[in-house]
Amino acid sequence: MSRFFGGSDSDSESTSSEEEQAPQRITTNLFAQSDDEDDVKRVVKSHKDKRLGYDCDCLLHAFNFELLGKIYQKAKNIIDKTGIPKFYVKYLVELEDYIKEIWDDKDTKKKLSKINAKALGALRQKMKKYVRDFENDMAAYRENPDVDEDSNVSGEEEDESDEDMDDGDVMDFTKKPENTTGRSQFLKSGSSESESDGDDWSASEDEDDGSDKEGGGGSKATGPSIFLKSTAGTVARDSKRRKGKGSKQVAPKDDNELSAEEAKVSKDKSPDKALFGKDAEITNESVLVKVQEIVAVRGKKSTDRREVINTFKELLQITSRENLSTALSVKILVGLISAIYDSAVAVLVNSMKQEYWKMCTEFIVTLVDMLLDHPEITTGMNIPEESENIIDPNLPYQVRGCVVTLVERMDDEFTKILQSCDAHSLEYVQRLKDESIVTAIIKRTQKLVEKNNFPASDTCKVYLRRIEHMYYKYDTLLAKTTSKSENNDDDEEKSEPKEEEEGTNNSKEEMARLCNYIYKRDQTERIRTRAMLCQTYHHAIHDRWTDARDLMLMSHLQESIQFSDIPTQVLYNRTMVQLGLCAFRHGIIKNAHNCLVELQVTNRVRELLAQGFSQRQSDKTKDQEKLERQRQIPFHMHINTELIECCYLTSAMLLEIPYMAAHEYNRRRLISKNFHFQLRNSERQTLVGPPENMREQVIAAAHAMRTGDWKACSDYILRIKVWDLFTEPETVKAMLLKKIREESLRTYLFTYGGVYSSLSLSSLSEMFGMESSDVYRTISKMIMNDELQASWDEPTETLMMHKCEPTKLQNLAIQIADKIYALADTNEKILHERHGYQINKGRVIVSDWREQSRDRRRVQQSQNDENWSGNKGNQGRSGKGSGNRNKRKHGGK
Amino acid sequence: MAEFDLSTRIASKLDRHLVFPLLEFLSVNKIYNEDDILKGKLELLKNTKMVDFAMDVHKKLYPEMEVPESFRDKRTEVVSELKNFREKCTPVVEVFSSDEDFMKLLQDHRDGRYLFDYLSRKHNIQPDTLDALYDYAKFQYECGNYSGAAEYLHFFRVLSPNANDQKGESALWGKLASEILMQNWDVALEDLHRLREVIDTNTTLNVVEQLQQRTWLIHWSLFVYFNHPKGKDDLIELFLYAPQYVNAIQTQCPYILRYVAAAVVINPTKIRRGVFKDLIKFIQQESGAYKDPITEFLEHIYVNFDFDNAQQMLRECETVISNDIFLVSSLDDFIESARRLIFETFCRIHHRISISMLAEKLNMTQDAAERWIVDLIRTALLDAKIDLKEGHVIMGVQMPSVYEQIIEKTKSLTFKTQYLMQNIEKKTNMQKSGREGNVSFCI
Repeated sequence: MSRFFGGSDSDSESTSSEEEQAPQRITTNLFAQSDDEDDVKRVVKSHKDKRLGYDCDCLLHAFNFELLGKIYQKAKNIIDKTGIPKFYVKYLVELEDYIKEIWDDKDTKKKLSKINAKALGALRQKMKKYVRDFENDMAAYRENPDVDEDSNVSGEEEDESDEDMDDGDVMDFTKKPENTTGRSQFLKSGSSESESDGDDWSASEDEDDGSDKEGGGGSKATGPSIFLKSTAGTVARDSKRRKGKGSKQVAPKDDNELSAEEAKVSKDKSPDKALFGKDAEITNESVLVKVQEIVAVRGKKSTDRREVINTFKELLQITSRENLSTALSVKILVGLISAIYDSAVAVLVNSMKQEYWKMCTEFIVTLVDMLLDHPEITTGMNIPEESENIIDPNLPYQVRGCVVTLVERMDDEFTKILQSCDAHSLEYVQRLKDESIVTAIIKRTQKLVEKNNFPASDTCKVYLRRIEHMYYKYDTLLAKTTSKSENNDDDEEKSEPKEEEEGTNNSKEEMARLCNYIYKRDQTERIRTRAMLCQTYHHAIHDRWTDARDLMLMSHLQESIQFSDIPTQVLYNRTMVQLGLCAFRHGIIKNAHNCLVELQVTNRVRELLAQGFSQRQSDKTKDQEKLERQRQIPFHMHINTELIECCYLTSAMLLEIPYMAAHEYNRRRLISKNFHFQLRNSERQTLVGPPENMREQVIAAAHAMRTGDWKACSDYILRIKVWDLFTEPETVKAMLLKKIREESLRTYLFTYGGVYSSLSLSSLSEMFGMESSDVYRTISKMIMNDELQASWDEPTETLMMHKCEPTKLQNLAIQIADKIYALADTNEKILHERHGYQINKGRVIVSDWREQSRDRRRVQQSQNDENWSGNKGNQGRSGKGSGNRNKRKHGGK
Repeated sequence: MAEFDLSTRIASKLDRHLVFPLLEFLSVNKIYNEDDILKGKLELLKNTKMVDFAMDVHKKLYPEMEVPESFRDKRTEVVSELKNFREKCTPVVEVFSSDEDFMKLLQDHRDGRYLFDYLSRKHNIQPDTLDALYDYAKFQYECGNYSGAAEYLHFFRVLSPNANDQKGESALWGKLASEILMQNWDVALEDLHRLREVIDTNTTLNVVEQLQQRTWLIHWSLFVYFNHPKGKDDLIELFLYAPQYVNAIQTQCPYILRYVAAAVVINPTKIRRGVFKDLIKFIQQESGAYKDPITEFLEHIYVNFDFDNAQQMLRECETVISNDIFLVSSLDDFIESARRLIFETFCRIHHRISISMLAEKLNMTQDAAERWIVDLIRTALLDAKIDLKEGHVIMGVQMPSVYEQIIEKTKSLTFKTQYLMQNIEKKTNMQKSGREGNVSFCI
């Protein structure tokens, strides 16, 4: 990227890294308290940066400029006293020049998009007006720009640091931590960094439209505008950016950073000097004092986090070298890890940087190990600072700080890292490898917690984390990741036994153990609920249908789930889906349908499972979107939505088609609205082509089933590819085939049964490729349930059909009888309502009232019936005839 | 047959003393090793105060060995304790046996406080005597003197001012156990109902405790329900239609399903329509948790319509039932009812059946089958005719025709209209009289 102005000669990396850093700064901003003066200065500087980087985007300049003006007004009081800041003037001058340049350069101007061109014009106008107030200053500046540089404490240095800053946020300032001037300068620039993005935010919020349009601007928009989009826009765009840039630039930057860090560390290899006097004796006490010093400044704006981390590291080295007390190391580690978190404070999808992450996990491992080795050290948040005992070896060591919280935090960070990666990139896979590290840490923590008798609430927390890393993994998968030997009785799940310290262990038992502990000991409803859902989920994916179902039913979550927090609701949805899929695999179609229908009916499956966003642009505010993005489930835990839909539609088909055939004339209710919608859609088409996607295939199968053509139906269904996503697709397919045959047979009998007076068992079994005993059973069940008016003739093995299909006239007669009845009911009701029964008192009234209510119900029912018949008329209205008939019917009534 | 034996599972939810009948039954049936059962008995007896019984068992188990000294020591201990208790409770016990006024009062008044006031006024009886009475009853029970225990517990409950507290409840359990062991089924049934009420209304228990108590109640009640002539109705009502108890069965003891299923099959007075449907639903729901020949038999009939397998299962049911203490008495009933069930279902889905096949299915000779069917037809249980020439039974089929349907639907219309007319007439009459200013009529 070329730069028009020579304020800085940094390379192109700066831009990309800046956007990387930006979000981090946002949070620092959250913590920092802003005072007005800083405000102005920061803004000015940041805009300089910005503008340098992204020159072609006039629109951005336009509203940056406007914003700047506003802030300038705000800070007017102070500026009046101190005079106009030089860099502000510099900015104005540069901007003016820049506008002029573009304005004059006809080629560039032509190239600009319409919006940009417009913005440029507007900006030019405004600029002209605005600049009048500053004419003198600007003239002065133009004459002697160098003065300005000098006056700005140490300009060159700043520029230098500017570049460095791109590499490593704060670290360059550690070069001169003792230098007060440098420090103050850091203060300025550092905090200005932090504020700058505040602007971006407000800008993006104010100018919603602007950023949206920019999206339309396409590839031209780069740099900050992209940043704006990536935070305010959709994930898709975000990922696009990452694809485009990430591979090229992120990697070298990482290297850069790391090397920079290494250099840093090596530079500080003689730490004692810096921390303690050369001859000072290093004792527990002195180190402790130092630690406390650092801890005390934590959270303050002026603290350089990078430095804090380094100091902690050094202290840690010292303690280990000097054989100081372990409790002290623990204390340092706790401080160190929190410091790492502090410095990597992240919001939104932007996650911890890889180097921090590595550091963090390493230290946590050390910490946990240390605590495991030294059970005499107690930790906990409940230990007050006064009673903390780190030095005195005679008393039990007590360290303030909570390991569990640290581990939990680490887990959260890990999720964030995964959320921020593009799920289909190599990077994601790389990051996902760390999952085993996380699991290992949690396992160690669990051990620690168990060994040291932590309070139940902490134990529950750790257990829950463990469960959450376990529940979605299929057993064989788990065996691989944790290299645990599976001692499963289920033969197909057996993997080579590998010895592990904990010996053989089965995920189901482990799960049950952890969950039971939580059920017993947990005080907060949330952990219990989540554990329960996880266990259900785990049962469900392992095909333990009855267990899963019982647990779900016993939890009574259906009634209370809407009162819990959203991530738990998401988990509930996921569990329901898995339950549905499990039922489907078991061939319990009705339950499968019931589990899935709630989710599918909404058409927002992705959103409800937190696996993406609904396609429709919704009227959500930015905040809501932000939150939603935070809730996204990492990709490796996703449930395939197509599979869900496929299972749903197939089960709907298996239920609905026979039902439709059985209740041709008096259909009371729809089992699945979604399915009907699809069915109707395909019926409306004049030309039905061969099915192309899953949905069409199911619908085509449904059509085939309506005529009892099980072969075509099963062909369509089994051709669907998503079945292969099941762990045992063959059994599922066999189940489906069986179900399809059965339901086709039912449909066939319902539809064509009236035509036959008898059907032989053998021919039926041949027609549907079923065992004759299965046919016998299916039909017997229909007879038993009064669905089919028929009976078997045992000696000849034939089915005698008793009921001849009622003729059209008969059907109409039934309908009219129904309607007359409804009419009589309505009359009665009207009479009741108009003139109650004032004369009769007491019991009579009560009985009347009862009758009335019963009547009302009946009326409603009959009204429903009417509706249905009406609907059916509409559906079947392919020509005018049926429509007319429909009308006539109503008229007759 | 041990695989279908539920004794161990049931015993875990019974009182120590209630297990003895089970063991007794098992030793008669000889499923298990006699010695093992005796050992079990001895183990049970060690924690009771039935020392004499324990000594007997010990003798039976080890004929060559002397009865150990500890038994004798215990015996003397128990006897002295008994004396102690008796002394404490003499005042009350005497009242019960001597004061006829009090007995009369006891029958008239149900208020415990009033009765107790009477006692303390007339006989100077203190509240702690009442507690002693409770302890005495418990002691009696442990010694195996159930009638005494039941009697004292009854008095305790009547007199105790707050009958539904912890102690009152325990007393009720004790009473029920005693009545069961004495085989007073009428009284036991009454106690059972009372206990159920107490459990359901007790608010001090938490959910888990309630569940536990219900589970116990379910197990104890088996004794009563299967021995009381009217018990089966109650059993079905309680186990199949009381949601809390259904819940308890599902979570705690799915094997109780056997008894529910058996009760439904045996019960001649089908108290509810659709009871089979509900039962089948229940069985299917729990099929993952529990399965035995009886439930499978029902599944074969009503779900799979597989009559051959049902027949097979019926044979297995026979052995299972004859080895079940609760069901053994109704074995014949069960077989008969089950056979009829098969036949009924079979007839419902068939139009024509050959008698020979039927005979085979029902496990009868052809002649016997014919006679059986003739009986059924004659008693109007079956709408069918026999075609002797072909050897077929032909079912009478009656399908509701469309005409009938319509007639059925419109039948009530006339009446309804008339009713409507009357109402309108009444209304107009009223208005007329209202116009005449007859206000009092309206009141």
